[in-house]
Amino acid sequence: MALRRGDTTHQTIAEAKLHFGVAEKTVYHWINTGIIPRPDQLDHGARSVYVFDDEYLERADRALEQHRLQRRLRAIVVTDPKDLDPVAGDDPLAEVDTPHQREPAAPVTTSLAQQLRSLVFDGSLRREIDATVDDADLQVG
Amino acid sequence: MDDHLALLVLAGALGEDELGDRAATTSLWYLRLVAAVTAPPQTGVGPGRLSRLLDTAAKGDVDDLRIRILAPPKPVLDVLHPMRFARETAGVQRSSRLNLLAAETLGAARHHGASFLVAAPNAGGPIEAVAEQLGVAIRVLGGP
Repeated sequence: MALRRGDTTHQTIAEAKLHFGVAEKTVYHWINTGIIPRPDQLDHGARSVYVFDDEYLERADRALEQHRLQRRLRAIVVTDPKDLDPVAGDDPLAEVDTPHQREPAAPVTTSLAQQLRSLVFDGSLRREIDATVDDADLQVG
Repeated sequence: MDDHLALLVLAGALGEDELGDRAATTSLWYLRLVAAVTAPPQTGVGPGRLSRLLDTAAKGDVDDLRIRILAPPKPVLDVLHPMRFARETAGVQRSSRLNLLAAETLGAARHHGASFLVAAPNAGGPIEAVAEQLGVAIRVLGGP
């Protein structure tokens, strides 16, 4: 439940867990293990509670994304096929039923993006891929 | 979407206005993309334009892109599990003469009620007629 101090309303763990879409204990675990920054604290009666303002949540989102990329990089380094499989996990089908709401990727440099678009739309990539995968069931058209 | 657009989505090289709000590709389009990115220079066509581009681009850029291609972040691009729509794929293949790549594409589109986004160089061919029969919309990006 949000905490009100004067004119300011502070979001607490109740709002943070909804923002991240995980349980409270998971948020605390991320904080205690340094996966996300430690939030500011406010005194609330005899206790001190974490508060999660919007700017903090943005920083935490970036930290989580970085953490996940690093995990994937480690998975690639150790070449564990299970970690490389984007749909692998305890239940390989648990999250793949419906395509997720799309978020834009962090863009590469404008120069590389333009070169990739050129490669795609001038037909070069089609020729390259077709020559790489010669199985009839993987050919376009 | 096809392998070409999947590459551009993972690179953040497509404008927001060019795509819908949900982006996904099938396992076989994804396989084509990974095959191109991971092909050793001495096989097939040798070091093609994609390989050269990835070899010469800024290292940080390329490293991030390789990670995204080999393990696509789900919120950016879903690689759909074929088991979810295997019945639709099998049905498409049974009723048409399409290969697995095209049959899986239309099976996924039917299952999700989605349209198929394809880059102009991959557009055309027998999949279009079958898609029309099945009521699956095809949208071509980058055409003339």
